[in-house]
Amino acid sequence: MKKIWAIIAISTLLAVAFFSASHYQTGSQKTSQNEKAIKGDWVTYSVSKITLPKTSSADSMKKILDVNPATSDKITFTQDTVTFFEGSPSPYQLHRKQKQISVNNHSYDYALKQGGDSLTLKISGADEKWKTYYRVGSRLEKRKQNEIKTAEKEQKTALSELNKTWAKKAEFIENTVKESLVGTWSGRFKATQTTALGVAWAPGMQTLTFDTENHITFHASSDNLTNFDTQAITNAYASYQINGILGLEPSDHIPTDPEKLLSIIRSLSNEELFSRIKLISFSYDVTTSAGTISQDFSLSGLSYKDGKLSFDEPLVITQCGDEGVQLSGETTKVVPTT
Amino acid sequence: MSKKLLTICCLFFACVSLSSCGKFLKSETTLLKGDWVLVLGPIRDNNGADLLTSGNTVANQVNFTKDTNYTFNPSKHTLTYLKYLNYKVQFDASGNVMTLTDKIQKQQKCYYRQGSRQYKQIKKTLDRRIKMINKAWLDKTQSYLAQYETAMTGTWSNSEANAQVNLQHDSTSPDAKLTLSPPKYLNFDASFFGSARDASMSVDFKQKSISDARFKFSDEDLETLLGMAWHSPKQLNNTQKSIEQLTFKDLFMTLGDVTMTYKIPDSTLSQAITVSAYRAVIAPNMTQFKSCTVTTSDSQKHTSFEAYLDSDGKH
Repeated sequence: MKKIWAIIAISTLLAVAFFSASHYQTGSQKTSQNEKAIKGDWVTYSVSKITLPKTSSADSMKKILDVNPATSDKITFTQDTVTFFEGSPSPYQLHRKQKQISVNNHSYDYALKQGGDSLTLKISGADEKWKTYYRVGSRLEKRKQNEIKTAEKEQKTALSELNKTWAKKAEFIENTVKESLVGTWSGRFKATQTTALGVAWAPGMQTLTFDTENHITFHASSDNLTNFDTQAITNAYASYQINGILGLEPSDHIPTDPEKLLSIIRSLSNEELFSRIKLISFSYDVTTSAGTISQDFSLSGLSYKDGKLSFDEPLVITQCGDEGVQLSGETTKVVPTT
Repeated sequence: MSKKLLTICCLFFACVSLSSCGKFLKSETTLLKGDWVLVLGPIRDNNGADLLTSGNTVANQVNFTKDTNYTFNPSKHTLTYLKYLNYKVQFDASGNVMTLTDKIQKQQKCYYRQGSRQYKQIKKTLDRRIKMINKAWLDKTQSYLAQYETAMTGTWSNSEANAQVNLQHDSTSPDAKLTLSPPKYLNFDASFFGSARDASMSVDFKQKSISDARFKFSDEDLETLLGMAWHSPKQLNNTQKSIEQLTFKDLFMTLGDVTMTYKIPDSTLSQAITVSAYRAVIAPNMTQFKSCTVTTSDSQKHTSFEAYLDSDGKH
């Protein structure tokens, strides 16, 4: 009888010992696994976004929407350091139980997911979203990369159709404006000093002549600095608010849905197009012996009829950059005497 | 017979129950023997990220019977320190907690018997509370630090204040410019140039990575934010509540101005950026600073200078 008890006792003890040993082992294994799991290079991606072109330039007038490319951001964990910014590793401690990492006396919440291929991170206590990082080289990272590339490609394709259609309209607007300006314009101008160096002079007459070859002649009667004959114009472009053309208020945000914009633009007649623009400013640079002169023709009261553009008396502003003088005045078309 | 038995039983139980309260069985002279620990409230931790630390208990350990500075008078229940300071001695029911009351100022000091259950209990409660407060404080301050750093992102200069608008108006200070990169997990890059008006100090560094930025709170600041006796044991519960309810706006509104400090790596320099509540807009989803004061100090030469900078408005 005693023997049986002894056997039972011994086997129980053995079982308990084995069980606790195996339990302990898995526990310690987990430790090293977790520490290993966070080690390595991690990358996060921000998706590409459809936006409005930022600057107003000849180039930006040919696009309605643009794509801000996707960006990526990297962090690196080694056995005992973490690098948030390239080149400045800081020591860290991992608190597995609290799911926190301490770096430089700050604490961050973390979570490892997707079999250790994704790491989410945020500043503990902060009211912010978790940021998801992917293990560099993992299948998950490649998948994410592809997703982003595909999305960017799709956005670009959607925009290319819209921007191509728009570019044709923009070219038409610009050519129509140029065509309507051909001839001689004359008016009285006044000079204003724009920098401390500039000297304003008495008002006088100015005449401008555009030819069909994109050349311009400019004479300001009381001033020799801004006079020139038949110079090629550069950086010429017509600028206007696209909002009006799309039937939106000037303060409205342009919708970022390419399909919707495309249908608006396609259904727009030329007459409607110009009546919606309201104000066009045609600007260009001319290089003369005295330096670069920028001129700006402001056209308002636009109306397009029978293939011809008409407008109110245009305001011409001439900026003599190097001299710090601005000439401005309204001009009327000089009807050639036949 | 049965009455006798009942009395014996009663006496026995009385003895047993009394023995658990050491006070009634032992004389005060006996109770006083052994090591006693003065349990002080937590104190402010000035070294790390923690707000509170339990303080050094070893320094507050006394053996009154062995320490010749103390003399005990059992009949008067008084303990005399160095012949002039008199304390009234009171023990609790367990005999493990002793209260010394200063006879003149009536201030109380609470001693616990080293290793006793009561000592362990109070230590545990206090330590747990400190840990909770430190966690709440860290979470709050680092989340607000992230907001502060984000609002400081960009270029700051004194070019506007320095611009000469007429002949009477002379440039006030030497040119200074500070540029901070957008923070990433509370780390950012800093570039700065500027010098003192009297030309005693001039500093120029570019793209230094800063990882130790933190808020600077004086003891008075903490009293303003959390209440006068914020770290006394009785107040800890309220202190934790105050921390949890503290908003970023509160920091500015109650303190008037908020300072962030950091060291410039590979140098003896450090900088402190101070933003006044009057020069900040803090709304639930937006923080905007208009100007700041940057104090650059050199710990080796013990020199420093201030620069008053405006935001360039671009973020």
